[in-house]
Amino acid sequence: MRVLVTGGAGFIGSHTVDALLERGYEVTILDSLEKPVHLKGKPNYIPKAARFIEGDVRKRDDFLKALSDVQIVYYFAAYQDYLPDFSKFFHVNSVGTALLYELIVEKKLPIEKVIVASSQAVAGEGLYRNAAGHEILPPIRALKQLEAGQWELRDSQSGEILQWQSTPETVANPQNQYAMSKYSQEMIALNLGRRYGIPSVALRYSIVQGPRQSFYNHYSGACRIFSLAYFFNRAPLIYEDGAQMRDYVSIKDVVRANLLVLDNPRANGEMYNVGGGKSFTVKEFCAIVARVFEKEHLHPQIPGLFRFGDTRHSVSDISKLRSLGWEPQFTPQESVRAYRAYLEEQTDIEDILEYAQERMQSLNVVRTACKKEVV
Amino acid sequence: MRILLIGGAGFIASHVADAYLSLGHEVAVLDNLSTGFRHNIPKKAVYYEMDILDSDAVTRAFQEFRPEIVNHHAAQMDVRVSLVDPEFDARTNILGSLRLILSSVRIKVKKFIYISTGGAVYGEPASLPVREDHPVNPECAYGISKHTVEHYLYLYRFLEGLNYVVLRYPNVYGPRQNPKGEAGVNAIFIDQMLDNTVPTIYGDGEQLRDYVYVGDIAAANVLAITRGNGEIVNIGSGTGTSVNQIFAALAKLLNFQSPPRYAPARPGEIYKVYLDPSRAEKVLGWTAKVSFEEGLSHTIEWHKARLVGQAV
Repeated sequence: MRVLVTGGAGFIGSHTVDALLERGYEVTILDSLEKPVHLKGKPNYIPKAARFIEGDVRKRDDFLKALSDVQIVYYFAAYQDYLPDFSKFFHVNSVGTALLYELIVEKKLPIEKVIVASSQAVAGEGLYRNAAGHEILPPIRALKQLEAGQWELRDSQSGEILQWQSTPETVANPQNQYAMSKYSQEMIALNLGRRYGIPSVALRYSIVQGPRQSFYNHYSGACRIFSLAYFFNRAPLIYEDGAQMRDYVSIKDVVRANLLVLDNPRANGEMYNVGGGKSFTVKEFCAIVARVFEKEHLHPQIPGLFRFGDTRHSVSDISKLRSLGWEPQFTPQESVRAYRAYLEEQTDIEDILEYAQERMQSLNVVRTACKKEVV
Repeated sequence: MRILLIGGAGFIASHVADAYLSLGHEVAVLDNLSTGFRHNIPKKAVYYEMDILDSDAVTRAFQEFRPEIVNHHAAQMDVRVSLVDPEFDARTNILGSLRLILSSVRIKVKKFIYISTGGAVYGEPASLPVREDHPVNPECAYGISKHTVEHYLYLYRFLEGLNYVVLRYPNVYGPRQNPKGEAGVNAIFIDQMLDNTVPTIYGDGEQLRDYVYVGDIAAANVLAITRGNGEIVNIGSGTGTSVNQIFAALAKLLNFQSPPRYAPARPGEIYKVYLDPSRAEKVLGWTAKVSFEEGLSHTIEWHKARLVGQAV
């Protein structure tokens, strides 16, 4: 049985590749080694046992070549920074997925399962409850509100603070180019899959943590940002007031979920949140990182900066995946410890330092500056 | 349904958790392990280790789990502690419960199942078996604190439409009851007899209590999900059993030869109380099904298994 993993050189993809090989699957990787995620080219952790194809999910010939002899596809290839090249998000995430289904149908490929990686970002601000107890899906916070330092979501009429709730899969309220492209990707996979009898599953990941998370990614990862700050002996910067809720899931639990939905036919045609199940404030999470790096004396800076477009609270409801018998097994502490170990075994640490410093400059980690930073 | 079970690491609520899970409900247990045990929490349940007095943590658990039903078994349940430190008792039992009620109102929980006590709210009953309309005259702080929450439930049903049912428990016994705890004469006697220690009976041993097997109690909690709106019901067998009778029954089952040791009665203890279950039958469709002998032999088996390390 051969499995194609697009984006198999990346963080989630490569861990999944390892697990598939360990289980005795043959694996093909299709990856474009896009910079800056793969600033250093092909990562050395890519197993020799896998067939590696450097190519692009947007290119028909590349994709077709990669699909040769394949029965199962994991679509992890993604464009995921928050840059203003809007169309690229849709080309990589949505059109690439549509191309996959197009090729399966057109060439009558014997694909038995497709699993696509989506994101918690699809839920946007997620599910809230107003004072009367009614569930609502608020829009993103207005720039004016953030400039006034009003961080919490408020009822548009009464102005009362809304209460966040964990967000189930039924909620979709994508607000930015990344989230919208991921939402369309989910629909492409589930709806075309159903229509053409291709068992398909979409997974909405929360913040995934662990080794191999790119050091060079522009946006993702409080784990990476806080870890690098503490690693280089600096106080990290926390946006807003640090009371933002997030849920963090270990890469090991994510891989378990990836394999579970492959094995379990009940997952076909379904979408699942894959999250940590527990909420942490960003401040609490930063304290976890500080403890792991033994830098508790370096208190984070919380000067009230913000990034326009950030969600206030993002916590996924994982009960649907739990109903398949999955439960997160690894804590954020364990993920951060694993990340620290990974960081410490890097040989090009000076480059990372230089890059990180540069990034921290622009992320205002070492500079205190204006009241806002627009990303 | 998603059911948040407060105090689910304890003896009784862990059986309720098992019953809910076996019916396919999603269960989360919230417990601070002050008297409960981690190993009592079913593996399939989500677990929140926190104190009900930590209002930030509790609020967060409610937001995270979004329960449809809240079942509140957590309590400071030691009558003697309630008399020595009534403030602690009131904080846990009244303020802790109020926190849960307010959180439940906030997220529009469909039903709040509250566990009260039939043994401590009525005081020394004027008539037996005790009906729910018997005057409330607690003779210990525990009875006051448990009863007070019943008023808050009435209030929040009236103000906010929070649906609830109150179960006033009898003396519950069965597997997982901790013989080293304060309550549970059955567990204590079984443990001592198996250890060849002579049990002590306080007072003349003729005090009467209403003993109900924990499996029946779990069944009442299952029925309470769908039945009973704004109701208070006694959960009881309708008959009183004396401590002397328990001793005799256990001595026979365990072939224990020595007579009991008698010690002076403990002050403040109710002499005779057992509960009229007719309202529970009417409202919930519940009656106790497990006979005392049958319940005792299940309990004995569990204690024997526990002593060889095989109990679940």
